[in-house]
Amino acid sequence: MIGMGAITAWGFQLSYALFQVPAGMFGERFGARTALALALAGCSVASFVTSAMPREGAVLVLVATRVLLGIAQAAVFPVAAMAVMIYVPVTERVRATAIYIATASLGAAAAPLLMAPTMEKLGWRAVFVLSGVIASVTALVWVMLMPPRPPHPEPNDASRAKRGVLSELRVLVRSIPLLRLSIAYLLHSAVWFVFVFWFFRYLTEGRGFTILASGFWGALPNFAAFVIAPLIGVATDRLGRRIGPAPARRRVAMACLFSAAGFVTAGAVLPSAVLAILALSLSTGCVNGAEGPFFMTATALGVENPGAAAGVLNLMGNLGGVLSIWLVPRMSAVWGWNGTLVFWSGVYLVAAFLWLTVDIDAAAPAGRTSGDGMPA
Amino acid sequence: MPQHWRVILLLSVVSGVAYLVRADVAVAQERMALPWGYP
Repeated sequence: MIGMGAITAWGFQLSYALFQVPAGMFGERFGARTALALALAGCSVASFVTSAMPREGAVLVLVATRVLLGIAQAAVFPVAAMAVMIYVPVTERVRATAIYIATASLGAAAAPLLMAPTMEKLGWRAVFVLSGVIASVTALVWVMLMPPRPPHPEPNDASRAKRGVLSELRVLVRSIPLLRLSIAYLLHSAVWFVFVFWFFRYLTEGRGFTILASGFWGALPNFAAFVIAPLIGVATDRLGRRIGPAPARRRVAMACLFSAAGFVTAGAVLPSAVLAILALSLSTGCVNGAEGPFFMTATALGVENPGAAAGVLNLMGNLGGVLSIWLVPRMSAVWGWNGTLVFWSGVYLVAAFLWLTVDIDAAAPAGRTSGDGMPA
Repeated sequence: MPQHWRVILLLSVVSGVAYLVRADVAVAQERMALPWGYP
């Protein structure tokens, strides 16, 4: 029998991954304001429909709503990366990306705190009503407060409409720098997903923590990511003013991945469980710090297709995540948790070295600037 | 507040809410009654 967890996870994850690129293209054509308003409206509809789920046909409704949620949320990161490219000066883009990605972790951490008491008092349907209301209110706030397009043209002009989806896809698929960057991101995300999905189990199985203690310590990596990633974003932007944005992004991403590899190895070999958790939390902070350089390099490499390029990156990241979710329990059964962690620290090193193969100069063709005089 | 910081703030709210909303089912599934029960 298929468990409900599997239905909801795969229904969401598949549609989320498959719609990354189309959602990015949609954002390029209709603008960030429309795309993210529709995304939030889609989230809201999915939640409200789930709250009214009938007993007859419940599975069908659940699958349909999770697929709808996946499609709607596919727009968030590609369109947000595109919006940063359009609205934020190049000297502040990495910190901007780091901030909204860090806030996503905060949203995930807040969910059980907000929704578990709601369910206790009002039942499970109230959880979906609550998330539907939150998404609807956010959609309204977004539409009302999102400023109009800046003077330099947003990439949804007539020429893009004429060029068509297929030719845009061809451009993206033929971009070797984007492909290499996306493979590096696949590896980066594969390790990140190890922590997202298996850290709790590592604490109980690998380090012998109780469930309660695991819940407390298990939250530490997310907290570390929330604090450290924006600081790395600020540092990247500062370095970018000295050596140029593209080299700064590469240098910081590599430093983050090397540091993360070192911290993961330390987490595997340190005898003290608490020190090991601290090391692993620092590694997740470093890895999250690399998100900004990854996304901003992808949008820069995408040139006129920043949303779709970010979609390609996130599609590959999700593929890496699916791969590691499948691999980790098999690896830990054979190698134990320490061997598994050492393997994934090696994956970080490969991802770091892949950055050296990315032609970051392709991100700034002659004459193309970010609107504030600096190459993108 | 400079316009681009308003955009960053709004994007942060959107991404935070997106992750909050996607986690709802993980909380609710404990009590949701499906034909075969849970899990």
